[in-house]
Amino acid sequence: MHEMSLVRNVVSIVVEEASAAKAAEVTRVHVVVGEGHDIVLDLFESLFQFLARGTVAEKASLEVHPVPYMVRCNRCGTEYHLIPIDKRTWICPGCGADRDYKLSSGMEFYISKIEASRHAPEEQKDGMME
Amino acid sequence: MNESRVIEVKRNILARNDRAADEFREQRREEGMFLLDIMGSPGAGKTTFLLALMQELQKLSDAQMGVIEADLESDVDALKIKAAGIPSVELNTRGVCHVEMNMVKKAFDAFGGRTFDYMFLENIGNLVCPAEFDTGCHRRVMLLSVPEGWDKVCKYPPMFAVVDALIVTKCDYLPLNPDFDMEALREHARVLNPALEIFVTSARTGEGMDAVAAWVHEQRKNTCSR
Repeated sequence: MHEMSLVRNVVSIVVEEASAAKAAEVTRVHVVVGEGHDIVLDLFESLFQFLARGTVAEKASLEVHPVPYMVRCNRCGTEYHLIPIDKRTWICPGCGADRDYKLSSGMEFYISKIEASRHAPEEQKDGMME
Repeated sequence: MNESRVIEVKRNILARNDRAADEFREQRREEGMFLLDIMGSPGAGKTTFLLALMQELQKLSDAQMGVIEADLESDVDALKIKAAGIPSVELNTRGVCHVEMNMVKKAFDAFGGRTFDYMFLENIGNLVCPAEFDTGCHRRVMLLSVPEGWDKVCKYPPMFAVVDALIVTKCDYLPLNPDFDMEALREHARVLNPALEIFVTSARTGEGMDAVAAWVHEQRKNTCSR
């Protein structure tokens, strides 16, 4: 259950960025998560709702963009999807090289962008802290 | 009027921890201190392995060593290390499943400024969460014991992907576990981590411990003489 630590960082980055951009309310947060990170997305999202309470991001939704393991063949440059458990994907579909590649994606873990509004909505904020 | 816009962020979620880890790592290197993070599931044999490793390292040089023992609770492991005459600090995370940089710093400070040639961090017994957090060590290793089965590599790929070495422990149990497929383990472990070093050891019989000690000794030399 390391999601709590991770989400705490997400919230603090979002609050920092929103404040630097003078945004009144964050509506959506885009997070890029490589397959190389074992994260329970449901938990990640609900912790975000919980930890963002009382901040400019309290009504924001979290959008997670998963990134699969991709490798680039050292011999022919073909880029292909690696499924570690499936031996057939260890072979380059371009030239047949066996496990001769470099990982090109799958270890990402960052906030790509946030969507925000300049002005706080006018309606009453209610029912948040019950 | 409510104007909506997109703010480009592109910020690593763990940047704060990573930065603190880089700084800590560099400070220790300047002091000639080599840090090794030891990870593995509960019961993989981390403490027993560490005791055997330190004994082997003593044969190679008269090195000063210290240990940070991380556990959710208790000081059972720190006491084992102290009983062997090695200074040790127990880091209780009280339920937290991994170690982060602020915890490492606090534990390190508890040594009161003592310096060592080697400092070991026995991470929390867990094959998932510790993989995510840089602990400021110069190298990271993971232990996989023979009774756990070779196929842990299929179930916890991120852990196998982030370490410098995989150390198979309790190899004296191999005759009792014919299902343990060492070749399949080697093959799968290197799918995401082609440069992975692999050692097969038993702390009880001493098998393979000299090779691990030689590797750790070499890593320290490469790190601290830069």
